[in-house]
Amino acid sequence: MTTRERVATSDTGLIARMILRRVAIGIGMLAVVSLLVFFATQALPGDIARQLLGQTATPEQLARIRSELGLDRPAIVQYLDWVSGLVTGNLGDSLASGTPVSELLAVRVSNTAALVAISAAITLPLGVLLGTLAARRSGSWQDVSISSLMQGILALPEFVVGIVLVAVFAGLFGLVPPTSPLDPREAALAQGDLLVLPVATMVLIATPHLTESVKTLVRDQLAGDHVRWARLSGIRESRILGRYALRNVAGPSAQVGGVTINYLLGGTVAVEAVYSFPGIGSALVAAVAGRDIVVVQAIAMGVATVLVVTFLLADLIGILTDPRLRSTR
Amino acid sequence: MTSLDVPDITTPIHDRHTGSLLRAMLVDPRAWAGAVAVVAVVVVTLLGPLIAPTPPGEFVARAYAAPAPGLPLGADNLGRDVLSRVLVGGGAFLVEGLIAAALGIGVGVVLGMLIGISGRRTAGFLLFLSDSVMVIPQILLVLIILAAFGANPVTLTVSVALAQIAYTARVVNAATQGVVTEDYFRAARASGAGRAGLLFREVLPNIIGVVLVEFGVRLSVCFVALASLSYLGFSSGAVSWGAMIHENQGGITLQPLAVFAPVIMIAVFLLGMNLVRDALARAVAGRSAR
Repeated sequence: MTTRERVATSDTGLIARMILRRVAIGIGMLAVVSLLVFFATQALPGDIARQLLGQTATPEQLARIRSELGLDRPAIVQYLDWVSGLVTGNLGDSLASGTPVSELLAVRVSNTAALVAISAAITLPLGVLLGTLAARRSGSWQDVSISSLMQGILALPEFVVGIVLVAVFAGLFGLVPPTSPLDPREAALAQGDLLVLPVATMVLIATPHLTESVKTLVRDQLAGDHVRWARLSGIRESRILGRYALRNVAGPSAQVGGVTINYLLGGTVAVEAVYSFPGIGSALVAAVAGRDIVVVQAIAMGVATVLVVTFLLADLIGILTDPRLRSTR
Repeated sequence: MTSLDVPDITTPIHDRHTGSLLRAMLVDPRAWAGAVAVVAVVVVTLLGPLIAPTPPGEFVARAYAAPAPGLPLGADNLGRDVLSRVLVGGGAFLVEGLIAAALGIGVGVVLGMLIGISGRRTAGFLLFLSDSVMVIPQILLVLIILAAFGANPVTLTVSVALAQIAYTARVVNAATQGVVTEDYFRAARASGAGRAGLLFREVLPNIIGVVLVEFGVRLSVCFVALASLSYLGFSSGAVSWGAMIHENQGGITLQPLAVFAPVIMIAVFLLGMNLVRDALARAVAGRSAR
């Protein structure tokens, strides 16, 4: 066995241990989130039984529905029951309509997934590109104008960006429909014209943070000694950017990319409201307005799970691209 | 060894007066532009209820009536005066945002400093908890709380404040890390200073710049959150800018002013706040560079 092979095998073991550790942390985070979600919504005085029956319910009616729903059991038993339901895919029944939550949300999940996936597929490369360009010309008018535009968008609520786009592209020019009431019988991707404005809004609100972060990362790399050395050795600028700067920022950029997905998922709430888009975000708003706690819990856990997996993947990219990040600590 | 080994402890630069920060901002034109924008919106909001021409709920014209004499911004979806509603619709928003940011930063700063001076295990566990909270998008965190308790001025303010704590704690913990390794902090701890004394006499004065910038960030975030919530239908007052935008969105081509008057108020306020905050961040960075 050559030295190189020995290093490689010990590295593989290390990487496997690191991945297992990250998975364990991710599961731990979901456990914390589930405790938070459950005890914020269900174990506190805002009583589901009263929610269902209204203020005029008699104590006997309240007691009956509490025992029917199992709300008279200790909170910890209810929590364990709820979690085991989540793990086995039983999300419970909506308080408002009585339909199973999984049935209620199925189409909406696929709509929002399409919206977020397309937006991410545009935002991630766009943000990295703009950030790298701004970093290469740090301090130039291109950098300053990209940066001020990004800061301006970042300062505004998502729905304001959406409203401006509606007014300009749907109102003024009449290019696209002002709302996106997707047909539930068709796939979201088959209704492209209804996706244009929501996707454009999502890209606009998520790109600034990514661009600014990538800019800072690349700029710091380009100012580093290893790049100065490479320049002095006469290595081509394109090669410097690719091999010396961008490679080193792959790990941290993946982390920032994870944050971008977080932005996009949070953004769906306002964006779907602007366009009456039938997705998870608008379902959440309706459930909160109707105090349909079971639906809110399911959506919160679903979004948290997607984000924990996303951050796990981002960590993985970091570990695989940057040997310096490989440690068990 | 002839004398006791007394380490040379340099006196900490306790920068209690923020005068130098203010001076740096006074010569910054962008800070002025931002301050003018913010003050303009605040003044309009404070005086608004006094100068509104009609009660905000009164029907004065047909739905989506265009601007006319006596109706400078036209009417909304139900025929109410847009100008009066804009003048009245910002009060609760501004008060709730300010209180939410102050609450969030207060708790977050104390928690962040506590994490910063805790041992590795405790700090690690608390950071893991804050990371877990930060996995959930902020708007979702706020909506979960509103689902349980309903939307009223108190739940709106408290839920938005709670959503800030983990973020502030993280920033303040990082700043505190820079203080706990300094000799003056070690000396104070070794001399038996209590935890409160350490935090408020040694740590806080030395991270006050970071705290001020973080307060600016949290203010913006709280106002953005509250504006979004009111657009989504969760606001406390009878009239609010976010709700106005939502109500009149259907008539955006008929009567754009009914949408854009409140949009402009929100945008001017937030962009102005952003300019002031960035100027503050530059002033703090400039001072620590000296």
